[in-house]
Amino acid sequence: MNRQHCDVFEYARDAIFVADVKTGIILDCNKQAERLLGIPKKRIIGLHQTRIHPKDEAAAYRALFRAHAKRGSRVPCEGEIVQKNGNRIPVEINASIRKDHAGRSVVQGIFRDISSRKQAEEKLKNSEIRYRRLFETSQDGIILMDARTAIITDANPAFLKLVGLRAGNCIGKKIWETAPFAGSANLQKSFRNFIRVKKAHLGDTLIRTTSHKLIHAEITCTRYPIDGHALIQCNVRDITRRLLTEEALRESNQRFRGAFESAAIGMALVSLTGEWIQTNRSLCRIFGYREHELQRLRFQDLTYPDDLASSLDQLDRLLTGKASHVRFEKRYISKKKRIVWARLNVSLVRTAERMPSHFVTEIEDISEQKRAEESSKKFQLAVAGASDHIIITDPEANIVYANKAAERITGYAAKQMIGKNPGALWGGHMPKPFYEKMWHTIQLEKKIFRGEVTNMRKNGETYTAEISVSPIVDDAEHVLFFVGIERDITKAKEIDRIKSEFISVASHQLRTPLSTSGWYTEMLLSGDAGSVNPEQHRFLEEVLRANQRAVALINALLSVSRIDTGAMLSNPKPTALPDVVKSVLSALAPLARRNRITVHVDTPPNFPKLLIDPDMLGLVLQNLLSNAIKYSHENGIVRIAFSTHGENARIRVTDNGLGIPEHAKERIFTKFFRAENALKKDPDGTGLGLYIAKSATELAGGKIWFDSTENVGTTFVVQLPLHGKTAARTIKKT
Amino acid sequence: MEPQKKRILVVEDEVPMAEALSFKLKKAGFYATIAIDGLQAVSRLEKETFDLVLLDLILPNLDGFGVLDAVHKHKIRTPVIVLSNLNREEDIARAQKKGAKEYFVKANIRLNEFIERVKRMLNV
Repeated sequence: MNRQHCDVFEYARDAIFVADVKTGIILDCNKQAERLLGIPKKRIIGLHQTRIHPKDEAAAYRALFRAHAKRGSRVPCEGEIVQKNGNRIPVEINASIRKDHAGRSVVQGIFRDISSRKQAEEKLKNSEIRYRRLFETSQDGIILMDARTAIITDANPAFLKLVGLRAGNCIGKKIWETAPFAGSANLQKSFRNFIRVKKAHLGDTLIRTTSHKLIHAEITCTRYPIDGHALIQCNVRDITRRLLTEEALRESNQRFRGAFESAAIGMALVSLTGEWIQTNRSLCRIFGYREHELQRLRFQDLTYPDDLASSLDQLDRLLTGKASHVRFEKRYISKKKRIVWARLNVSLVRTAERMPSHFVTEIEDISEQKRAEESSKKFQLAVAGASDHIIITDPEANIVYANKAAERITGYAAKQMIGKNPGALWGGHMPKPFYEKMWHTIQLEKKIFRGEVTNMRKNGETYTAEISVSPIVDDAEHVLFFVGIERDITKAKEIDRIKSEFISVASHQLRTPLSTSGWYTEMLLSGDAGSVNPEQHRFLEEVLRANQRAVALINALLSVSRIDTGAMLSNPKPTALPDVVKSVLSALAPLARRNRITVHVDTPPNFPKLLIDPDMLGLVLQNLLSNAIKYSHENGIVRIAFSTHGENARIRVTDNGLGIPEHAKERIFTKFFRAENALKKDPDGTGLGLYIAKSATELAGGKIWFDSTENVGTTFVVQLPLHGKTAARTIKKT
Repeated sequence: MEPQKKRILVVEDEVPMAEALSFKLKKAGFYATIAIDGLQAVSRLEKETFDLVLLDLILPNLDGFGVLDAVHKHKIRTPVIVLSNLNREEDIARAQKKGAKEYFVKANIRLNEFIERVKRMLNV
């Protein structure tokens, strides 16, 4: 080879191998051959030509070389070579036979690396397969047509199914001659336009299938060149369902808008930074702002300052994805600067990319509820903290509530009481009739029962309590529950006892010297120490009278102090009025005899018994009757009459004596007051009798009044409750 | 000591009162003797026989109520009249409940009238 030849050989773009035809041994190769195989030339030379090809195809290459050895290759053939690293590279091979400088027949193989061309071919093939697959399986109907003639060249199964055609009925026909387009003049026009001016508006179109069904179709045409001529791809999509869905969505949006506007609770769309984007009428009403005013504010501006931090915390839970919606209560400040308590239900709306977009907030005004709760809380606290024992029971007397004082007084814990009957805990120590009366009052009469009971604490200690049990009834007068209030009066009772004891002992001590001096005076008068002269006798009688006045005064003062200090113990029991009158009159009989007074008692038959302390009643009658006798003229008449007036009994004591002077009437019940005519008639009176009568009457729950004319007479009326001091109405639950 | 005389025990710590009573009772023909406290009264009632006991309530060592209890306890059949200056209803009721036949408030009754009541009671 000449020099020029050598350079062409050595630096050719293709790899060139030279092999002996007879032996097949490679004799020479160029630089590109070294690069292609990745082996130095000196190691290539000497190899058998089949060694540069894949081993598994050695037989095929041997056959190829045999063919080349005869006449070279007329057309290039394709094969593969194996690189040093094992990679197989596709190559195009051109073989020619020539004689070398030594006269040997050699085959010269030119190998062109075609790997990039192969890859492109492979890609194209794949893309075609993919396109075909897409075409075949597409949900959209697709037809392909020649852009010049509008003759359909292909149609996919979805199209055929959509319009109800077979491939044979459309392929090879012009599009506007094909059902379903043949029926529509508009469509034909659009297609013609598209083909002519390459422009067409083929948006939503109604087309009719071969089965005469109308469908909404969205038709999109695309023109593109392929193999040198233009093709039109026409996509036909059934949007009937989508249109229906869109319609439904629009309606639902309208409905939502309507619901939003007219919702009874406040609703708002709130931006991530707190602006009110959209608000409904209820929300405007809650805050007292107009919509446009509200939309200039942020929720932070309306939030009660103390509640801001907690509100933001709640929104953070949404933003950080810890919760999908949050419910909480907070306070706002209305336009009129009032506190609005609200219950919120907030959710976060996110974009399609899952980014936070805005909040949807429902705001319910619960201010009224809160106020009611607060006021009922106050009641609860008042009841819970009351110093009186308070329990609530169901209609069967099972405890449903007990306050702290109940626990303290009885020694039982509230949870030990719940569900139990008080009779099984601290009660049940009174005689049976007491409880029968109580049940009769609260269950049948539906009235409040009041009484004094002896109960037992958990530790076995007894205590005295004033109780009141109130039935709470509904409109139909059915008992809903009972409220029992007890006051532990053990201590009060003890104090009363001590007071009473003190007064009793004090008066005893006062009476002792008086009775001693009285008796000795009497003994002197009786001549027990020798006879006394008439003057001495008169003097001693004065001493004795003074002594008796002192005793009367002490007795009256004792009564007054027992009344005034509350030491007058009341033990009400059913009392027959005539019996008390009889006993008082028998004590007063000597006085009446002395003053020559006649006493008449008019007792109606079957006069009811009074629930009253008989001693207290005796005290009242004793004072009224002794006055009537004392302040009557000789041969006077005192009348006692009884009557009932509704729930009360009345006792009238009438005399035809001195009467009360007009100016004294106002002060007649005052302690130590004495009218001058009474003072004149009986200088020894204490001025305490009517005070005692009035006080004792009032202690028994009654009233006293009088009617008097000086020098004509006086009538005192005492009115006392028939059923004792307590008379109460049923409490109705509202 | 004349055996036919009715025997009365006066239980009274207030000496002038005890003496006044004893004086008047003796003058009325009774045998009267004084016990100045409750214990003395009970001890004498256990040993001796009396026709009547006049009993004060406020007494040293053992009060009148205690004496009434002892009388009841020892089944002593001598009638007891309480003569006291206590005049509360509850004291009167208590004494009667414990067996007192009568109850007189000293300051409220004249001595002569009281002696008459005693005479009537013992059928003298």
